[in-house]
Amino acid sequence: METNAAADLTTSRATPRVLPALRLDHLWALLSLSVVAACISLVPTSPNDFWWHLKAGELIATSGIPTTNLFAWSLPADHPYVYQSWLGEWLFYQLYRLGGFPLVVFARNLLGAAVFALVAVEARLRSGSWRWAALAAFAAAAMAINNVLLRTQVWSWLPFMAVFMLLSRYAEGRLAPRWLAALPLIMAVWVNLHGAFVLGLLVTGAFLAGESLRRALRQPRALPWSRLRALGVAAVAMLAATLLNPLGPGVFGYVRDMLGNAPSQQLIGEWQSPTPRSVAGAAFYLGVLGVIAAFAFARRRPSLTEVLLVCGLGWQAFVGMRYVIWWGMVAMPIAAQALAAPRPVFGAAQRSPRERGAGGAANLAVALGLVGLVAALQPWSKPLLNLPSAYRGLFVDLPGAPLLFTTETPVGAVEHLLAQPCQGRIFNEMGYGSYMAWALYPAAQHFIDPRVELFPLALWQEYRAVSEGRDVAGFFDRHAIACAVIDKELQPELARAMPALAGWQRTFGDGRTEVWRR
Amino acid sequence: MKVVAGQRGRIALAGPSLDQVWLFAALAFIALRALLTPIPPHDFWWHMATGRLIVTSGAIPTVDAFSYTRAGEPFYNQSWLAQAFLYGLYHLGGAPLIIVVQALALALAYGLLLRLCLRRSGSARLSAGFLLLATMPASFDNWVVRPQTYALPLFIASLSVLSAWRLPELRGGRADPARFYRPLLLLPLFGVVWVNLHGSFVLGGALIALVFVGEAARRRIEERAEARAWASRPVGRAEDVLERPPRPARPPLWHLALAGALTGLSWLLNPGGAQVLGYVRNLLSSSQVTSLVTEWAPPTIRDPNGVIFFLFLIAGIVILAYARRAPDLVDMLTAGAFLWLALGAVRNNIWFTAAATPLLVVQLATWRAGEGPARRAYQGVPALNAALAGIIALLLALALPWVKPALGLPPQLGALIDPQTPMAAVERLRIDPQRPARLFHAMSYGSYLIWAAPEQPVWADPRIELYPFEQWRDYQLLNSGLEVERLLAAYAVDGLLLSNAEQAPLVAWARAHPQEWELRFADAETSYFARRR
Repeated sequence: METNAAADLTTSRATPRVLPALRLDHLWALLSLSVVAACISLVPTSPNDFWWHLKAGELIATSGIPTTNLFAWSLPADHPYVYQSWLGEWLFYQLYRLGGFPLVVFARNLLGAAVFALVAVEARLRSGSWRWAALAAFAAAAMAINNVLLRTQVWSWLPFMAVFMLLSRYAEGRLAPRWLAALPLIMAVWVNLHGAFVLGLLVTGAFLAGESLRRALRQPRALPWSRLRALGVAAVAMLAATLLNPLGPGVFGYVRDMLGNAPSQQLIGEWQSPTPRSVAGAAFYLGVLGVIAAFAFARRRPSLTEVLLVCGLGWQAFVGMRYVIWWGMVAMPIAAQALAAPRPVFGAAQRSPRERGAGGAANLAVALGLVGLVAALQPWSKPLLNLPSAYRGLFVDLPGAPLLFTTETPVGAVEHLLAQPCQGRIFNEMGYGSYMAWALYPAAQHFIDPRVELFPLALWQEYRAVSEGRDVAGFFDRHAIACAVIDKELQPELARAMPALAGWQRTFGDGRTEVWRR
Repeated sequence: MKVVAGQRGRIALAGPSLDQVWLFAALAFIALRALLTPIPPHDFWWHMATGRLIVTSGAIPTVDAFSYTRAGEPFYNQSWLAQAFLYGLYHLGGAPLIIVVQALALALAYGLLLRLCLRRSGSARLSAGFLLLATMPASFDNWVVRPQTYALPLFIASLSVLSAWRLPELRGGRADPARFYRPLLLLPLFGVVWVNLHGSFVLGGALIALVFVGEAARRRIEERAEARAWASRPVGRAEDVLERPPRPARPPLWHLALAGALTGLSWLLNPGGAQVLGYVRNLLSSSQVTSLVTEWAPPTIRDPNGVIFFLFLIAGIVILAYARRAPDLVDMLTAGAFLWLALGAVRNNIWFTAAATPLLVVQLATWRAGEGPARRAYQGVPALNAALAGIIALLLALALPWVKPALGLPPQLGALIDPQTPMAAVERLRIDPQRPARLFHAMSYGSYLIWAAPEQPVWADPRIELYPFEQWRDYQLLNSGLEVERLLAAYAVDGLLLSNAEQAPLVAWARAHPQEWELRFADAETSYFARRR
């Protein structure tokens, strides 16, 4: 009688494997990533940061990188402004030229799916478990769900994970020093894509500091000094690579100014500390609790480098909600690594025989189904789906971009202004300014837009006062406003005050937006 | 100094050991912090005024009698016992006695916490050091003279009772675990007092529930692990079947469940009965409270106390990561639940740090475990120890509120009443022959006015939940100098008692309208205007 092993061998010779070896735990990861990708694909795009970036990309592609305000009349047109994310903006425009708005949104969806897939892969490499990887990716995505907006930050996602994964493998001794040459190459591109390039330096610095300390303390499996020297050289090369941008070393001054910009720090929600009162904030703090539990109950103690990364990026996340996404990408795989080898208090998990071995057609069908679901939610096919009317009602009717942009995009109002140009200065809601930069400039300029750091704090305070219906007439007179484009949901007090203003007439109105003219 | 015969004929000097000096220093510095903190104006005075009303009238007020904007509106005075106690102390010994009792209450609370940490970790210096360097900085922003202070010892006492009930090392092996229920009887007694002291009484129930759930889970996990180990034991001898180790003796969980039920029933022993639970629910869901009051806002790293809180959190992560053994599951559950609470509101820091301290001290103690045979720490020279303790005691004596005013300390340390309290301005107001009828003022001034000028109704005060959100919105506008004429007319205000620091724009507006507003008093802190008739 043949043994089982011999029988398996006989079987495998008789029936060549033609299906991918998809196991149940693979499907867990695929399910998690599919949910994440679906959520990202379903997130409506608000106008705030996207449109002015797209306009900047157009200008970059046609006439070079601008260096001044351009779009808003509230500051001189030649007021200096740094378009640090010029490469990201240019890429947006190229995608738009290639495939219209759907392709730009699809790029964001693809980047989001890819980066959280990398988070899952990293968690799998660290923990050896696809199930923990699935949970890690889902948790990282949940706390970043408010940060998957369509803006140049999306171009930082992959470089960040690439740097983290490369350094993690290097610290584990699995990569030769020659792989570190990729770091300055990544940085040379990243520094022109988005201001988050600084995180690449911080993560590299954390690895260098942590691994050096481990070496100095003669901890087991610490990197030898020769490898640490190579890492140090790579770090210096990364720093040098940051000079490869139009601003040169001035790019650090730009980052410093951004971090210290009073309007951003005081007025913008994503620059405020996360709170458990929002979904993303609650997910973040649940993640913090999870990391605490993981470190406390882990059989394998986290390395000094891992603690540095989790605590350092965690501190940054405590400073501002917009940094939570980076913490999640790093901390969740590290937590998965710790949880995968728990102390006996939780008991040792036993994998059932069913979970081992190659999957059959059923697993493949499930996998294809999940991929198909996500594919169906992409910009070209999403409008064809029978989605609830409540969801459809979130989107504005923008030609060439069905179910992509929120009703906060003042499409109708801007068409009205194009058809009947304003004979003077335009006051507008902040987010509207972004779309007006794309659709109106250079025919007309607007009052304010989401380039928060461009405008002085006093102007933002004035804007807020007017939006809250205070001293509206005085403001309009002082600034010789001829037209006002108002968001009735975001500026309800102003919308209520307008009818009482003498000499003003409403010339356009839809469900959300009004245009008033003096 | 006593001389005793030591071992081998050596003469040893009896005196405090260095460990004892550490313990004394920890509590002394906590008390010192309280003694050197002037009473701030915000919550204290309106509690005192309510206590005065309770004592003089013999009844707990159920409607607002202090403001003219919400006169007659229902207001639930849940902390009546603390209010009466505060007034009684003030009546007996004035502000000095209030401050000393505050210091004693905090020393008692943290003394209980220190004792718990010491018993669980076995290290006096570690316990005292952690309390001084971590727990105290993360908590002292909440050490304000108000009813919450008297609830803190009850919270920590409850934590101690529950720890003693469930942890064999704290029972000392003296008692049969199945009969070790007597300490649990303290919990309902705490509940009776607590429910009349402060709204945090529900945290006592939360502690019991967390310990119950955590202990049940821990026992289940241990039983399953033991069953697995027994099932996979090597077999080969007949006696293997007979030598299964007995289950460890543990106090039955139903004792705790019963104590929890009795504690819940004890909450009904208050003047409002079951209404007290509705009060807590309404307070927690009040948009005025949760969105307007900074201490009800989540902690942020942008202020110094938030920095300390998040540093405490980071330190906790590092301690737990490098501890040499797994933490107690109940400790983790309790600390995690109170961490979530603290992340929701700054004022909950104090409960979180108290709940987390024993866990972190115990885990920190394991960092050195296994490094070799335990050596008794150097205990110093008794005479020097005594001198050190004496110096600390001297500092305490000098900080006493009857002594420190004579030392010429800066007002932030030496004053009994916070210099921001508008004592001189209110005194001027009281003697004004043409006093305003409807005064607008800083919120904290409202608290002091209620106490010092009870005949002067206030516009608003720190009873945030009493006043509607719109009124607080108007307060912010007025403070910012916006829509002043409209709002002053809307409230028919004929007097302004303003904080120069908090209400600078409004002060500037009033000074810019001298034909309408007469400046009747001004000092460094306060400006008092009256509308010209």
